[in-house]
Amino acid sequence: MAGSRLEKVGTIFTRATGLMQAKAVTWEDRPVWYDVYAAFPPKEEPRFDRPAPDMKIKQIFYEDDKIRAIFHRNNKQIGTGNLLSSHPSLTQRFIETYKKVSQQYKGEADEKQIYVEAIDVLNRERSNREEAVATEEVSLSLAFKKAQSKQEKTGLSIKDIFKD
Amino acid sequence: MFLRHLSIKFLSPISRRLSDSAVVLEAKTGTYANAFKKFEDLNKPTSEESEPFVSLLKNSKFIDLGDPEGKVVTGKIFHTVDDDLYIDFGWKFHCVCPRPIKNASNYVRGTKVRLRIKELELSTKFLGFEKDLTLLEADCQLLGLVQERSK
Amino acid sequence: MLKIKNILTLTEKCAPTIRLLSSAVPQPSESTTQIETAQIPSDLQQEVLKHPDYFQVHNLFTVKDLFDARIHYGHKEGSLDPKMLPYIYGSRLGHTIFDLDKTAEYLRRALNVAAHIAYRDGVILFLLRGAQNSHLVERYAKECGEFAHTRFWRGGIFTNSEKQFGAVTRLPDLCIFVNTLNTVLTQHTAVRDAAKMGIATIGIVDSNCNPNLLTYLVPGNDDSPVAVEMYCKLFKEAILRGKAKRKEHLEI
Repeated sequence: MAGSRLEKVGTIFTRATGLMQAKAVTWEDRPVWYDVYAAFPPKEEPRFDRPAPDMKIKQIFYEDDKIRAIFHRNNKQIGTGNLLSSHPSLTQRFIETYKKVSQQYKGEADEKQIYVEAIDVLNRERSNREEAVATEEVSLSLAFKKAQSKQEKTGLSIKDIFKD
Repeated sequence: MFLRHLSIKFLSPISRRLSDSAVVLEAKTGTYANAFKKFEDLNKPTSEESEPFVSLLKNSKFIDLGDPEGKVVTGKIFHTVDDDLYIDFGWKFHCVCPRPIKNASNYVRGTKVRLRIKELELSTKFLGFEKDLTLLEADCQLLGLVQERSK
Repeated sequence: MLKIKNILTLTEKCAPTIRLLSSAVPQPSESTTQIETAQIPSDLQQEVLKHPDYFQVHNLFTVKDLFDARIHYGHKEGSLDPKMLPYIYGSRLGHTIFDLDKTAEYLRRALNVAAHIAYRDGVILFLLRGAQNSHLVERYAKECGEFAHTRFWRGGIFTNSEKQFGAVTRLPDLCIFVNTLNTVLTQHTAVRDAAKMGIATIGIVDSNCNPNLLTYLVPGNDDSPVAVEMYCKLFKEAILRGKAKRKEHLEI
């Protein structure tokens, strides 16, 4: 079967078409991918000499990066991050509080002021959370009893579900 | 679906008479399976709406790292070779660290560890090449095991 | 003219030097004694081609799935190939990030093509260089009943196949490169050879790769094992869908 091994000339599609026009390859013997290529051509032609586009790479920076920089500059130890979790990290929470605090001041306050306030808010939140956890642990047995009583009240029986 | 329920209901008295245990079992699992299917979709999130890439990136932990040098992250050991530990911490590459002397036997496959990132990709330009050569690895310092918080 | 005669003898002959994993063909002798395999009527074939997404590949994944599989991570700016610039979203402190919206579009196109070629009973070859993920790719290729070559690539496998294998060979109709660079970070010889022999190629191109000779390219990360697994899973699913449809249409 005839073939054209000139990978630097045109694309595989143009060469296959050329071979068929020159009757070197019959329509029945066309490549398996020929129809698929004709129906779904690629976005860019796979030419060997396709030039590199004249564009510059964009640097990714966000507004939040400024706040992040302040936070990281002032606190070297921010605890362990986890790239794989979806739980918001300390830095992300700081950025949110910072934004909220600056909105409250409506742009009148100094950067340092907002930062100090945001740190305060975070510390308060953390102490609240620790308290909540502590109280939770103490009343575990109470919670269990509560859950039990709730269950009886709703009166949902498993048999009903399966009865359809 | 409704007709099937009916047919199964008709089946059950017949099967009891026939005392064909296999048919009875099938009828029973049929009703259970139907019930399961009914409530299966309750907790499934609607996956049609997917966040656009731009917002996914903005809120990603990778951007959150800021300047990665010096940051502490958690990783998991996925392979060990003698005294080398291959640790994956959620980035494109893994990092390889030597086994520490303290608690050496605790570092096995699956252990969670803490790392300080020195460099995310070990790649640099070599003389005579236009593009730099990459080692396909990150460079981190092993800090220790992750302390399990008792909840 | 070079119709397939015997896939199995091919694999037996090259087993010691090249591991061309064959599909799990249960009765190889049956399928290979016939020269003409069953054909789907051409009007049905045309109809299948007209549909923009006959095999429903667009719902095989979401952008979030790609994000979680770390497909948007690229190499450092220093190793960037300027031809890859259109697919890069930007650079974060020197690390390139792919634009996953574009990647999703290219990936859907590639999956569609793979499914169509599987529908037309094409031979698909998965290629990868890199010991870490070699076993993964071979396993997925086996599961979808296609071929994989993840070992050292001898020069004349495509271009001198009759001498290499010592028998008439049918070359693959589609090559899927899970990464296009070999272990010394130069382009895989098979990319150029497939273009020479007129074989369609789908390739995952990272930010340090040259995308020019690939028919259908998919810009994305090719280094993390999670990413490689994601690609393999998606291509396997698309190929299996294509084959299932083929089976369905042959029985009509």
